[in-house]
Amino acid sequence: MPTTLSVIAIAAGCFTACPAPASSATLDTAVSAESRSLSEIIGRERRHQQQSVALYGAKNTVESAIWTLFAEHGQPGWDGDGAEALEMAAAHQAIALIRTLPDSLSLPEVGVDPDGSVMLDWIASRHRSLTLSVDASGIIPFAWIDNGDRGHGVVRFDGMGFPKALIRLIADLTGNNDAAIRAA
Amino acid sequence: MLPSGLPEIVGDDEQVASFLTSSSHFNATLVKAGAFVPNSKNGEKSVCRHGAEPRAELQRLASVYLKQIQAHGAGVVGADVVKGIGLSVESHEPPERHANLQGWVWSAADPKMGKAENLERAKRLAEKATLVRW
Repeated sequence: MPTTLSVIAIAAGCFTACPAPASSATLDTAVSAESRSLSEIIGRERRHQQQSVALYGAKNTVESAIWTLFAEHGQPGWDGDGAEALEMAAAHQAIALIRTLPDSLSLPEVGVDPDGSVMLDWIASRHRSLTLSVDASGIIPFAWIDNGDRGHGVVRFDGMGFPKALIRLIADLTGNNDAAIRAA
Repeated sequence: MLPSGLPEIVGDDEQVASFLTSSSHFNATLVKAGAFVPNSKNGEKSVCRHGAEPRAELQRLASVYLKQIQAHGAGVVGADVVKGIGLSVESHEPPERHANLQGWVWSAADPKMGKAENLERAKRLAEKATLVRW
């Protein structure tokens, strides 16, 4: 049976602010200013990401994947059907969320939503998975399927703690039930 | 009859393909929900009335639809599956064989919950979809 959840999880933390716009240095190249600006932003984010390796370990690979995604979908219309560009603020929010994920839980696969959000997928199998769509708002829609059972809902994330309702779902779907008990 | 020769009404026995324009919309074995999430501007998901085979024809249609944008493949699902989760498949040519998945939830009062419900529907489509790569 489908289930609907509406969960409020409050937290504070190390939410990373959006970087300032890149400077528009004038270089004599055939690369457009817009592309150069995007490259500068991505380069800066990658350097920041490399500095955080010691702090976030394996989660850094997910952060790297998000910036790769940003590089590939940083312009609108990437789907040929009017998709929004992936928003930098959404990328930051997704990274902040991942950093609060309990270490004992599996890391997600990352994707892009046509509305400019970052999608995070925990996929145990074709029939068991959870998907979040993260934008800058701090209100995260999610949905899951589990061998015929299914549901959807929203959780609130303000940068401090990974939403407990999602911890339980991820643990159930991926078999990390000990993690859910520890995080509760 | 439509210019493509297909009937205007999409039959339950037809298949529809969502072209995969992002490598993040599939992995080694399956299609992800992102491949079926509707456009936030028009509330529809654009698809092609074609199955996994013949592959070359599906690939040709992808180039017609997407022009300069390269598709990695397609997620193919039955029209009966689409209709079974409360969506409709409406033919919409040109381009040839084009259709839209309609009936998604759009709530001005609670857009995030509407988005969550649409995610669930996209996941149900992805669950039944066949991954076609080229």
